[in-house]
Amino acid sequence: MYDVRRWWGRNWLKAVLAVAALGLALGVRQSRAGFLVEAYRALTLPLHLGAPSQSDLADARVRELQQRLEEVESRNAQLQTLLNYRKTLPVEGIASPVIGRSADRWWQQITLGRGTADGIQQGAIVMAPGGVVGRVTAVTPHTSRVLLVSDPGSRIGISVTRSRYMGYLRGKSDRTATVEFFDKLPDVKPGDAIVTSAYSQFFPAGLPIGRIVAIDTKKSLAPEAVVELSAPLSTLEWVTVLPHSPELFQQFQEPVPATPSGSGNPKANPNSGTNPAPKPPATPRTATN
Amino acid sequence: MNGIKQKPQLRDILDRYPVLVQVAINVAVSAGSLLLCATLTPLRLPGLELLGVGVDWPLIWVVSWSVGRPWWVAIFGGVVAGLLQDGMTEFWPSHVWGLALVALLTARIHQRATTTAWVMIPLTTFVLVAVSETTMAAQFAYLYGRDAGDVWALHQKVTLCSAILSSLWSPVVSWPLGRWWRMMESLGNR
Repeated sequence: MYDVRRWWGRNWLKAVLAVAALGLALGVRQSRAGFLVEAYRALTLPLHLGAPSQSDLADARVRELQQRLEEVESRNAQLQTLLNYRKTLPVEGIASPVIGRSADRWWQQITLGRGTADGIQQGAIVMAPGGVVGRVTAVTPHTSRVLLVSDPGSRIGISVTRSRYMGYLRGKSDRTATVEFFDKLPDVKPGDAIVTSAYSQFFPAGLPIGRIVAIDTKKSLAPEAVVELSAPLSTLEWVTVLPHSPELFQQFQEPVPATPSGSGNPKANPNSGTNPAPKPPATPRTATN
Repeated sequence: MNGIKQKPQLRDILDRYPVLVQVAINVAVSAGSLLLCATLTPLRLPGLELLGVGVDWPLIWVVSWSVGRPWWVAIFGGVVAGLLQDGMTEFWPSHVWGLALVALLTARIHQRATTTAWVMIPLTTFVLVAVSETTMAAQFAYLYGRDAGDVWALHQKVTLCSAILSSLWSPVVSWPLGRWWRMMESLGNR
């Protein structure tokens, strides 16, 4: 007892400081480092960009429009059979600057300069010219953290616009991602556009993600495809945040998926057959449309 | 002294204050520098980035902190820095293990805060980045179910880029902090 008291007499300050430091660090961790991210935003405010430069994003925009068109054409063919056809409307989004990247080297994240004060909530969908970027996983009053689709931890249900075959997409920490299909022999080929599927938990159906650049049919369980993500994730400067709401999911309503074998293909968009053979990833534009 | 009036050094100014004030300033500098290191992690500027990989500021702080300290004090710094970085990314897999290991190794390698130890910090950082990243990669591959092939391929890129950048930038953090802590030590309250 005497020893303990003597130790305390000598080291009380250190012990109190140590406990305080640990407690504060735990507090910061539990709050998802909210005030640190806010401090980062304040510190880097002079570096934030003005309006997005349109010319840089033109290429990606063209790609996105092309994919959207393909998706709409394919959907049109199926919607003719549905009575309760609902027109897809553009959803009002919140334009946000990208102010930071991931805080370590393993997570594919970005930090946005808009937060709850601007109406962004956890789970919101983040889009950029080109397609889906990711979804918001943490928010503070003026910042939000986005888990990118290129992160290996973010798995997204997808479908192929031409043939409506389904699978899920897994990021590879770079500009490509892999898709595993549920079917043993899906009708897919390089050049096919990939969009989010109706079975995706976090994303509304029909948002463009990317384009298939290669297929590996030798995978033992199900074939795997390599997808080039169409949003320029490594050079993002501005993104659009769509709040995660039932209205959003209704507006991007997915038609009833066609039965995979046989019936899906003849109904599919006739133009899709004119997609050129695999192109190098740098120039995924199709000249035929 | 010899008729020459010397400019008062920071150390002499601090020496005039009571010990508690000195301790408070020391705590503020140590904690403030760590918070700054954690805060700047999302920043990517030309020169602070290689193939999309940024500088590992918290690791540089932990290495600087651990030089010449007892191992348990060093590990304590590593744990605190790891918790902050977890808050900035995701809770699991945790950065605490890697940074605690880095702290322990630095404390063992540089048991005394000699000038040589401070000069060696870029090299120490280079080696210990590999230790820290391997700890993260092992957690991803074997505890959190990511594809082991993908993880180890990424590990190579991440480790090399981060090691080069972090060791080049390490003096920016370690030199002023090292000087500060040595001065505090000479005042008797490190």
